[in-house]
Parts: sequence; structure tokens; C-alpha cells
Amino acid sequence: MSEENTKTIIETETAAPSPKKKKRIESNWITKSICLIVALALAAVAGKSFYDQRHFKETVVSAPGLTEIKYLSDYVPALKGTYGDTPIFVYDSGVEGGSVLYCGGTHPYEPATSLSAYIMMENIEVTKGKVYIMPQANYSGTTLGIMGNAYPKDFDIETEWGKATYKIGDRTSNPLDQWPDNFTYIHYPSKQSQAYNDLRNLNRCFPGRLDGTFTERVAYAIMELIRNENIDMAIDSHEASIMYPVVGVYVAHNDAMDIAMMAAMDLTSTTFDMKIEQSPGSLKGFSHREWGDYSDTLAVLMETPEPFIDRIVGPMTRDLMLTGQDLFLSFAGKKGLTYVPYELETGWPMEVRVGRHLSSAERLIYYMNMFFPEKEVQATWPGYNELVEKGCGAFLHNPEEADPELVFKV
Amino acid sequence: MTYTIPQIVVIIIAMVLTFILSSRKFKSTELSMALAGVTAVFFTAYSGWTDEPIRILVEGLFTNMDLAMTFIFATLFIQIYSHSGAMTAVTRGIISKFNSKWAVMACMAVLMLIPGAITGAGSVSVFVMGGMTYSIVRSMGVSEKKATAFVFIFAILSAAAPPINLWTMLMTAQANMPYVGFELLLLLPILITGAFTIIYLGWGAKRRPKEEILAELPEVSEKMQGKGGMVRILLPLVALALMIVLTLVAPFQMPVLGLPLMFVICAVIALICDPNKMGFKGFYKLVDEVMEQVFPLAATVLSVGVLQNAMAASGVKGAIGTAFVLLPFVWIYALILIVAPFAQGCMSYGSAIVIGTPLIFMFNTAGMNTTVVCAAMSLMFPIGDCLPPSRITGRLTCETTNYQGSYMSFLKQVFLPCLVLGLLALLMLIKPAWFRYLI
Amino acid sequence: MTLVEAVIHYAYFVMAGIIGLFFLKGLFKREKHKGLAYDVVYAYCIIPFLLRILFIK
Repeated sequence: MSEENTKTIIETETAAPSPKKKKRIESNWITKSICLIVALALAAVAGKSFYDQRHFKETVVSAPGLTEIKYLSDYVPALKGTYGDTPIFVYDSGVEGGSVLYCGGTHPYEPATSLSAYIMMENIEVTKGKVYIMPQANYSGTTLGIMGNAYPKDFDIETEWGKATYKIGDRTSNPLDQWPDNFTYIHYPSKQSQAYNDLRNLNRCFPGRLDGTFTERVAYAIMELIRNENIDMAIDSHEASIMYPVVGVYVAHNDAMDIAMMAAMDLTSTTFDMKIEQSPGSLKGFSHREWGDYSDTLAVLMETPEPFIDRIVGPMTRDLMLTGQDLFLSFAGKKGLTYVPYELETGWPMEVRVGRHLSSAERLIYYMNMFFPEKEVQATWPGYNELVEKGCGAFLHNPEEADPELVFKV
Repeated sequence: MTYTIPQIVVIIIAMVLTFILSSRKFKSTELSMALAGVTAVFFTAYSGWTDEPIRILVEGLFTNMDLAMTFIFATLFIQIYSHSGAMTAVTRGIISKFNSKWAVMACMAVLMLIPGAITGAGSVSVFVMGGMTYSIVRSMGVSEKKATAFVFIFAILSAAAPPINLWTMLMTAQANMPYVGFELLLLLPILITGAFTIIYLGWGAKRRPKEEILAELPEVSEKMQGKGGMVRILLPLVALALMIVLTLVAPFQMPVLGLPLMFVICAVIALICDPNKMGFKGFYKLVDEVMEQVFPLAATVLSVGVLQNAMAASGVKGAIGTAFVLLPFVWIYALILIVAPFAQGCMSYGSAIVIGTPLIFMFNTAGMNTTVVCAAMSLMFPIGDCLPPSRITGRLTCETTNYQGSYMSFLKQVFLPCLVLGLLALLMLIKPAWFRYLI
Repeated sequence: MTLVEAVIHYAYFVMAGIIGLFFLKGLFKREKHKGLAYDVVYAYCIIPFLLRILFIK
């Protein structure tokens, strides 16, 4: 490369005096190399952060009743060794009864779902039937944040023994696991056209395909889990922005409507406001629709309010994730644009959201037992009131002091 | 809550100043957008809202990475295709077949609409058809400025046209609405605007004699004539159309190719069909030239991503959305034709999510038909594709047609057709009940 | 189909790598936009392609 070719200039104009003075900054291989080195340094710093999120494992200390750990690859072997494989913790009472699946992390940017699964796991006691808990349904999606939304990569829960760290993921699978997207996503098998990036959205890919995309295979594995284990009730936990009408709500498949309606009425009269909606037949790919249509399970999706994912919030901070307090949203709340009550002083803290999920799941099981005694499941874990009173940290155990056989990295 | 409104206002002012000053100093929109992003992230870190400012900046570069790859490989395909002389052959064919100026312009309008309509990206229309459309429309006596405007208007109309309208799809996905019933709602305003554009831009243009135009065009080699030539010309385009159509009609039999790979496959086919064999050195030289030619555009979309991420991290994105959705309905009607396109210029498709989705919920609460409202807004956002800071399709169009005039003169030329589209969309937004029969 | 999807998946990493290499080449040798400003732009535009092919992001 000749010096002449690479030597170029940019001209910068100084204000006065006239005639304008021109300052010349030469661009040669030295400045180019410096630019490259700086870029590589930026890539290294950011890359370390991305790498850490991709490989970080959350810690959970299971309650003693754990009987088995299954993996999605048990149902779709092709997922073994991929970021689609994720554990399902089984708590079998040994007493004949029904079975329930609790699913967190279908959308990993809704972390109260997986945290509620962990708190359930750490404190569960099952005396009849079986409970299956899958804390990170779309594990791949936990390994990055949403593009263009600048999410912090994790948040901490304070406990008596220190901090427990959990990831803030994406809505969809990681492009490192599924790339490219098509210009549109066509749902299998309905052929309904959806937004292009929903191709990687687990909750648009049900019932999935064995020979489909990475996310469709994960969806298919979850369907196989439900079918092979004869899951009587499958609960998919989510969080929603508060300017979205489907928030603070059960969305139930037709077959589970009675149960969800009773649970919603019960919760609203005793604990917190809970709405109920029937899964619309026209929306395809959702757990509340396809789980019920493609298996015999009673499918219910739950949404709790998560201001962090609202479109019109201020800076994206860990604080916002944990407290749900945001000034801009409070203006929207005052104007009646939110679908749950919103006060700046209270926000929607993590313990409230986790507590809602835990009590909402408990009430669903309670009413399933009433409607279908032959499917009875008896299981206990902390509920809304306890979470609100003591916070999430009070229900997380110290992995350093726990039985090592009950400590898991997810 | 750890922020105040004055803090966010300071960040917005700092970002705007950084953008203006660096645009003047460096004459690079890409760098100016990235620097505006750096400013926002600096304030974000300074205010203690993040402990990973570098992560935010670098993460932003990934936001539109796939789009950048689409631009790069689409340009590669079109350059290889042009190298074979196919573009010239098609241009000569259309000019010699049609005698009426209006028929030629209508034909080119329809051809421009197709690639964007089926991929959802107006830029694809510009890449695939833009250069050819410009030459043909120019040969009808239309000025450089008007022919460039013609390419741009039909590019944004193609992006808005069904079956794939990305703004609608993103809004429906956010609002959990099924993506059904939008075909006529989108198509009718597009056809009206398209007809207006043809008349507006073609009015007064005098078509020169066919022979004179053909004499000015480069000759086509013998191998590009006759049946064999037809195969060489059509095969790459047919392959592209086939892959796109099969993706839509046989989605479960087709692997997910993605637009960049589709263009790579077409480029390989075009290379095989090229009678002017270029050899490895020639091929490398062409790829090298394409990369340099397309770099500013690719850098623009990558830099927009940095800006988007920085705006989200600093709360500026939220501030823009809040300021707009808190307005009374009458003010929303009054301002949306300004705010929606500028939001598109700032946030690209993010505009549909930040501005569009909250408005859908608002209009829903007011008892208005959300399908019509969603379609109306989906017709407004594309207008912003010519507006700064990103001005992606506008800039791409000017580069494709090698437009030598100022960018402002281009904006003035596209203003009226954009206004027609905007007013039609506004009417749909104000009176959705009038358009329910189109669902 | 799964195999084809896997091949396409890795093809995209190769495509990203090719773009990254051409950007790197463009940083040091190019015909247009020869100013320092574009040195900076070229340099930071390499980053996403580099991190993608390293399977980091």
C-alpha cells in the first residue's frame, strides 16, 4: 500500500478569522491502526460482557422433595448439547394423583417468571401427584438482551446470605442458535403470517415441529413433555407491559376456562385483582391455544405487570426491573392509559410480581382439584402475602450451606 | 425512580447538538449518529443508570446487522446481474415494447411494488428494480429529480403494500392482534397514491422517439439476445421470485433462507448466466467495489442501531413516546403526520413499537376499529424513510440513481406524493368506521 | 431439513466473516471516503461481524 494512496485529509473549519484556516488531520496507516486497535478494545470489553451473559448459570437450591431431573432432549434428542436443552425438575409425591407443569422463562425478558419457578423449587412440598417445574423454557433466549432495548444483563436479589444474580434475557432465541430470520414468519401448521422475528419467539411456535427451526424444535419438545408425561394442567407464566390490555390476567384454553374463572374470582375477592380471558382461536402459536389443542392438558397462561418492558419508560436500569417505578409511566397511569393501576410510589416490585404468579398457580391447582378430583395435586409453596411481606430473598437458600446434591446451575 | 425530566431533556439537547456539530465537522451521517449515541450513553453512565456503557454501544451495532447484510448481498447480486448486460437488455425490451409514456410508467410502478410488497423491505425494491426503473422513467422524458422521486415513492409504497407490511406486523405482534384483514386497507391508499404519483411526476414529460432512446442505450451482446439471452436474463430473477414465493406458499417444505442468502444464491446464478466471464480476479475486483459502494449504507443502518440502543438506555426513547401519547386526541391527529415519519427517521422500525402500539391501545379504548387504525399508521411510518437522521431508503435511492442534486431538492420533489399518502392515512385514522368495509 | 437449516446457519457465519474481512480491507485501502472519519466508521463497523463469527454475540 503506497503512502500516497493512504494519505488523505479531513478538513476542519475554525470559526474566524477570515479567510478560514484549514487544519489538516492526516489519515495514514498509523491512524487506521489506532482506529482498529480502539475498535478491538471496545469489542473485547463488550465481548466479555456478552460472553458472560451467554455462559452465566443461575443457581437454585432445590427443596428435598426433588425426585428426578428431565431435559427437553429426553423428548427431542436433537436438542442435546444445544442451548435449546433445558432441565425440568420433577417433584413426585409418590401418591397417585394428577400432574402439573409450571413453566417459567418462555420469554426470558420476563424474569419474574423464572424467579417464581426457582422460589417454587426451593420451597415446594408435594403430598399428592406430581409437579414439573421448568424455570427456563427458552434457555437460548436467556443468553442475550433484546436488540435495540439496552437491557442490563442481570439483576440481584438481596438475601440474608448475600446476593443472588439472575439474567434479563430476550423475548426470542439467540441468533447464535437460530440464524437467519425470514422476511416473514409463517406459523406451523396454521400458515398464519406473523412478524418476522416471531420465528424465534417460543410462544408463537407451538405446537412446533420436529424437523423445524431451532425454536420450533424446542416448542415441539415441550409439547412432547406435556403429552408423554400426561400433564393434567400446564401453566405458562409471563409478564406484560402495563399499557398492554392483557395484563394481570389468566388467559385460558376453552377446556380450562371454568377453572381459571373460579381462580380469578377467588383471587380478586381475597388477595389481588386478577382478570380472565379465553384464548382466542384466531391467534396461533400461543401456549394457551396450542397446548390445549394438541394435547389433553388444561392450558393456562398468566401475565403479571412488568413496567420494565413498557415502551415509554425512562432509562433502562436494574432498579426499574426490581421496583417497576417509572416517572413517564406514572403520567400514562394518570391519563388512564395503563391496564392495571399505576402509582409512582408503589410501582410493581419484583416480590409482588413473583407473589402473584405463585398464588395464581396455587389457585389454579386448587380449582383443578375441585373440578377434577381424579387429577388432584397437593402441593404447597410461599404465596403472594408472604412474598410481599418478606421479599423474594427470604425464600432463596444459601447454596454454600445447602446439600450439594440439591444445588443446581440452570 | 432515579431520573428527572430535566435530566432527559439535557440528554436530548446534547444528542441533537452532537449530531449537528459532528455532521458539520466530519461530513459523515454514520459517524454523527454513532457520536450522538455515545453522548447519550456517556450521560447514562454519568447518571449512574448503567455500569456497562461500552456494552450498550457495541450491542447497538447488532440491532440492524441482518439489514446491513441484506443491503450488502442485494447490491452484490444487482452488480453481477448488471455486469451481464441483463439490465440493459430488459430496459431496451420495455422501451421498444410500450409506446405510451403512461403505460411504461404504470408498468414500472407495478414492477417496483412487487419486490418490496413480498419482502416487506422497500430497499429491496430499490436494489432489484431501482436502477432499471430510473433509466426507463428517465427515457420517458422525466427529469433526474422526478425519476429519483418516482423510485423512492414506489419503494416506500412497496414496503407498505400487502402481503408483508413490517410496521403492521410489528404492531399486531405487540398488540396480540391477528395479521389478517389488512390487504385492502393497505392496498387502496397505495393505489390512489401510486396513480397520483405517476400523473404528478409524468405530467409534462415528453417522450423522445423510441429509436433515439434505444440508440443512446448500450448495445446488448449477442449472447443476451434470443431464447438463450432470455434464459440468462430471467433465470436469476425467476430464482429470486421462486424462493420468495415458495417461502410464502410452501413454508414447511422450504428451509429458512433469509434475504441475504437468497441474494447470494441469485448472485451465483447471475454469475453463471453472465456471458462476459470475469475470472477470479475480476470477480474479486467487483466484490471489492460493491463493498466500498455499499459501505456507507451498511454503516448507516449499523449506526442507527447504536443510536436506537443509546436512546433506549438513556430514556430518550421513552421520553419521545411519552410526550406524544399523552397528548389529547385532537393534538395526536394534528401532529401524527410529523411525529410518525420523524420517529421512523430516528428509530426505524422501532417507531411502530414506541409510537404505534400505545396508540393502538388508546384508539381501542376509545372504541375505534384497531385494524383500520393500525393500517393507517403503517402507511405513515414509511414516509419517514427519507427523513434524517437515518433516511435509509431516501439515501439508497439517491445513491442508486446517482442523483447529483441536493438532498433537500429531492425531499421537496417527494413531498406532495408523501402528503397524499399521509392525508389518506390520516383520514383512516380519524374516521376508521368509514373504512371498515375494506377489512 | 434440520441438516439443511444447520448448513444455512453456518453459511451465515461465513457470510458475516467475508463482510468483516472486506471491511477490514476497506479500513486500510479504499478508493472513496478516504478521510479519518471513515477510518473510525470502518473500524467500529467491523465489531459486530467479528463478535458474531467468534460466536460471542
